[in-house]
Amino acid sequence: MSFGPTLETSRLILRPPIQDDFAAFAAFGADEEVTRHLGGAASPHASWRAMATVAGSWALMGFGMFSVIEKASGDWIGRLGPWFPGGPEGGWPGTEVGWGLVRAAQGKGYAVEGARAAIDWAFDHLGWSEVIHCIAKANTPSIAVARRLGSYVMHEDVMLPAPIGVAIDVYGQARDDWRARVSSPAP
Amino acid sequence: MIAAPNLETQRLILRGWREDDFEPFAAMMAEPAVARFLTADQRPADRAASWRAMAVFAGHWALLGCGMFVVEEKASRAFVGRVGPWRPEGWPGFEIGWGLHPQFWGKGYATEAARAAGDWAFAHLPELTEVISLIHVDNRASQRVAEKLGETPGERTLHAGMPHVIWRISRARWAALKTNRPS
Repeated sequence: MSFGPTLETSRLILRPPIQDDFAAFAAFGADEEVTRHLGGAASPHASWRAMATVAGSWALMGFGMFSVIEKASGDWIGRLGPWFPGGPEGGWPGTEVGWGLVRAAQGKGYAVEGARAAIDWAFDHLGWSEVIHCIAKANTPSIAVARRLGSYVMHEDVMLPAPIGVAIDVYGQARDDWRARVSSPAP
Repeated sequence: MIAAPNLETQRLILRGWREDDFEPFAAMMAEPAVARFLTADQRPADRAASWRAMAVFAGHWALLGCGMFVVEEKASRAFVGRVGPWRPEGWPGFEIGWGLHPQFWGKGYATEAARAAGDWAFAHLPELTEVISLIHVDNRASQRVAEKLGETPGERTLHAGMPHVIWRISRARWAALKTNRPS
């Protein structure tokens, strides 16, 4: 049984995490390269807690990151979506749509494709007035994704609360700008 | 989502997690006497850490179909704590755990709630052959609860860098003690 929506893009399925995602989620969490800007490599126990935190966000707040499934292969290729742990008092710098994909799925435009669907959903269903993305300065590929989404640097050198505990720049944009752009697509 | 059922005991309600459990849960996790045995660094948890801990409890239900219940006092509807199944990745067994706000210690609530949670777990998880409780060697109050549940101390283990003992009880012993429980 699912406890959140399933979204579909041309190449991806986005849905809340399920226990069967765990092996892929743990492999992702253990990859030092992909987690270099996400708080570092995690043990299987820490990865399970991270996945349960996402599932719990859905259960408690009605939103959370989606598991990203590649339609062609059926593989779990990452997690992406709305993230605001603890709500307004949780110490998170804002209403985020974030992304993190396994190495094999990077460089294909999947993050942009999935984030667009997640941002549309967040603005349509969560009442958010802006969306942010927390990105480490050295994370060039994610900065490129943020820019392709039309986001810009809102705040620099913001410390994320524990257990992440890393400094990031806050990219983002207002809902009105997002919607204006969607209704007049770039050439 | 797999919703937690409501269980009722003589004095308590056990139920699933709601967003508005956060304030009393965070208050409990900020109590030094609670944090001493229930946080990884033995220090009171800040609000961000408590939110994540609560999300993990709610997510445990969503992912595994079982988990810690919120415990409420029937008479006052106050948040008493969390008691129930706990089996995250890498755990040494299927635990029935408990953690109550100190305001509610010494009333037999942990035992009363753990009995209901254990009854539910054995009834709904046919593959379950035993439950464990992972208890810090210095946590006398929890050891007393384990004894009242009929658990027996087993091997020592290092958990979060601290010495713990794995207490255990088999399905058969749980069932035998259940029939002899005073009602």
